Amino acid sequence: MKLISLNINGLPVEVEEGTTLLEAARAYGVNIPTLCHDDGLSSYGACRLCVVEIGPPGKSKMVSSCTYRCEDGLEVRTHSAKIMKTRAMMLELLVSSSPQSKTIQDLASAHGMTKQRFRPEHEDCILCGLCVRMCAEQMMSSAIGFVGRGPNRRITTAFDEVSEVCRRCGGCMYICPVCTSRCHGPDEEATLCNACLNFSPSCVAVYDDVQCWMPPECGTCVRPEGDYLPATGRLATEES
Amino acid sequence: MQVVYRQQIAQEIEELKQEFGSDRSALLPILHVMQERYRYIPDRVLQSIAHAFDIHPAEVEGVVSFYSFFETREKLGKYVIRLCQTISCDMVAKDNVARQLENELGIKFGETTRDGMFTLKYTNCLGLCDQGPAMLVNERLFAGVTPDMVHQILIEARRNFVRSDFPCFIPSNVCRRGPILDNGTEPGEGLRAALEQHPEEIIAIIEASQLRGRGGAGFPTAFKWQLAAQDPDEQKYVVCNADEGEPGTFKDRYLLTEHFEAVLDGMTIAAYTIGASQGYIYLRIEYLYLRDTLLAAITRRRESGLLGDKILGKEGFTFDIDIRMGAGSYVCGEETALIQSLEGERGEPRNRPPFPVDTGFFGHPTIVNNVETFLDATLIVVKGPEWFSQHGTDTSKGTKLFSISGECERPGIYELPFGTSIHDLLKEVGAEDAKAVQIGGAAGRCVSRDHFDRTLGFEDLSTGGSIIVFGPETDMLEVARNFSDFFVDESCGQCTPCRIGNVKIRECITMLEEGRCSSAYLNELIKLGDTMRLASKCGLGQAGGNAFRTIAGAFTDEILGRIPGSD
Repeated sequence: MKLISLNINGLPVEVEEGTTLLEAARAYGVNIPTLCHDDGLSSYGACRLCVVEIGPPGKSKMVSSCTYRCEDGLEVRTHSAKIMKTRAMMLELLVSSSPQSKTIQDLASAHGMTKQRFRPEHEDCILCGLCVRMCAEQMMSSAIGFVGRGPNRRITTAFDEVSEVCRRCGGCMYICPVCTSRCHGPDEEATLCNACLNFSPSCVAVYDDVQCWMPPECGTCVRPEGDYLPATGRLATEES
Repeated sequence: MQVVYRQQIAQEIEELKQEFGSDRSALLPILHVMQERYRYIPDRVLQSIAHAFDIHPAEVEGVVSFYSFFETREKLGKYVIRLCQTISCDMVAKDNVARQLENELGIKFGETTRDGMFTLKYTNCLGLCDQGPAMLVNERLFAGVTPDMVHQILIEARRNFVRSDFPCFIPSNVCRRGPILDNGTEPGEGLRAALEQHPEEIIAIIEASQLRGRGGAGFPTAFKWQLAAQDPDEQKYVVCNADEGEPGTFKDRYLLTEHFEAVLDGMTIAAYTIGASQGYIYLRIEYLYLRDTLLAAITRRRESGLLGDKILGKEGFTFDIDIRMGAGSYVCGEETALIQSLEGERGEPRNRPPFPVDTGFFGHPTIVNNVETFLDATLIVVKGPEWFSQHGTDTSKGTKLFSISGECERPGIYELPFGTSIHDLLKEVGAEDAKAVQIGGAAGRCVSRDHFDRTLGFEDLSTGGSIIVFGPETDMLEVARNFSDFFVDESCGQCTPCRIGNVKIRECITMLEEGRCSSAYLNELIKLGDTMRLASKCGLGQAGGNAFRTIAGAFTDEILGRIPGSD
């Protein structure tokens, strides 16, 4: 197998031909956030969270690392200021479309997002297409698919009826980043966290002294502000 | 009600498969026939089609629901009236026509009359921006529609347009000709000249001319052809992108009617150069009225030995061209989306790389070029690279066709060399008092008066040809709204920045209209536009925020602080 050498964040790395930038970065311990990617499924490149900068500074362009294959001598930056700003903006858009998803909240919080400026939509789906690919590629079923386009795009079974080919395997729900660890908001009886009771809007804000038990260490509510925010990832908050 | 039997449908689909082939690429043509036959595509038909192609019904439904010219929910009227809602038509009192249509028919847009005769719909750019408002009745085009004409058109439609007073075909205004339009070449001349050379020599000629793609992105044509020619794959394709969906562009429509032979020559030359045996013209469905003429021209060429086996007696050179119709999707003008659509899939852009020159139509190397690029290539082969490259600037050679519409005295098609400044251009079209100019359509940028010394060309203001002039009275926020409506409507919705971002921009425009948008929020939205430009998956998604960004940047004072209902 031919080896390809490239440079990720100043670190010279060697990977096998055909490896994507995301795989290469993860293999070397560089964590790139993703929402529409799963190792067992084909790459889709739609959430745009995994964007990285390639090329020399000043002449760089952004590509999705989950689809871009490593090239010899490529210069890659995964956490530059530009990238962090882009990711933060993308997460803010995602939070505004699905404010109840724990996964998205965690990612947003890790990128220093402390307030949401866009009007929340309360959609249940971010159209990452993981379930569609899961159904087609792993379950060989294609019971669900995308219909419509633009804002009317949604995922559904054929003709919105109970599908004949669906085996109720639950793979789609298993893989879904929005409903697997979904935050249902404050509920004093049933939930441990409840930090969002005191927040406005919802629990994307930061709170100081509440214990959070949600795996995997979300930390949305417990870490003090400023502690974990990469300086570059912070959104401009002139508005306040 | 028309009763449709499953067996009968299956039979029909089998017959259509005989005609269009049985691979997935026949899906769209078959759907077109079905749509025409039943006036909509009922679930049963979708199911039968899925069965016939051995794919899942969910996939077929996904394809059908992607394109705006397919209807699955309810039966459309015998005549579907589609009124253009894009900016150029919007500026010339399209609303009056719309209201008159609603008054005459007693229905709203999106509805069908109770007698099943008419359906009213809005559509995006019809390629008659210089002669708006434009309207499509089934496949018949009407230009310069006035409220007064509406009644007449409806009466004639009820008489099936027998002895119609309206012209069958509306020619384009050509206001200024140049070396490309006055080429004076005969059909087949370019091809004859090309076949005397070796494919590598042709690439060298094109390279010497420094021809860059005319669709707007400006990729060097010779390089594209060379990449495809180098590929060892035996099956290669040449695709002509005639999906002229960019608002304000209508030059391809003209080229297809007046210079089609030279375009076909260009496609055949490209095929000879890269070693392709099959070509497709991806024609947008709005130009359906051109199809029969184009097909006739292709048949003529087959008969005269310019297409088919052993072209012009050249041993081993086989090439044929087929026309494939789009189905109403702007995104399909993007080359990878176009290939998806040709393959019978949802017209969503693919991840690049791999590029089409490497992995294109059904995985084979495919070159996708604009109509104008093929025409230019033919002329370069006939007249030599110097003839072409004497015009233009250092990085943008040659003359380019511009489609100029909007508030100017002489809208139409202009052939001008690259490097022309906007100022000169406006003098030429008679719009020296213009307030701003939109270069490159909805995906382009808005240039205000202060920057009229900027020039057209790949190094400064790149465009596929669309130039829309805004007069001194134009409300720029309305312009921004129109473009943002367009992008919300046409976004494929695949990637986050384009899908959600465009909706947010539209929301912001509503807030601006109502005078309740803070300047901080406006700045955030401009930043969002920036993020979309950087992070979207395809060129069109990247361009989605451009118009808003540039308008909001140049006309901040005009759009902020409005009092609703004051104008």
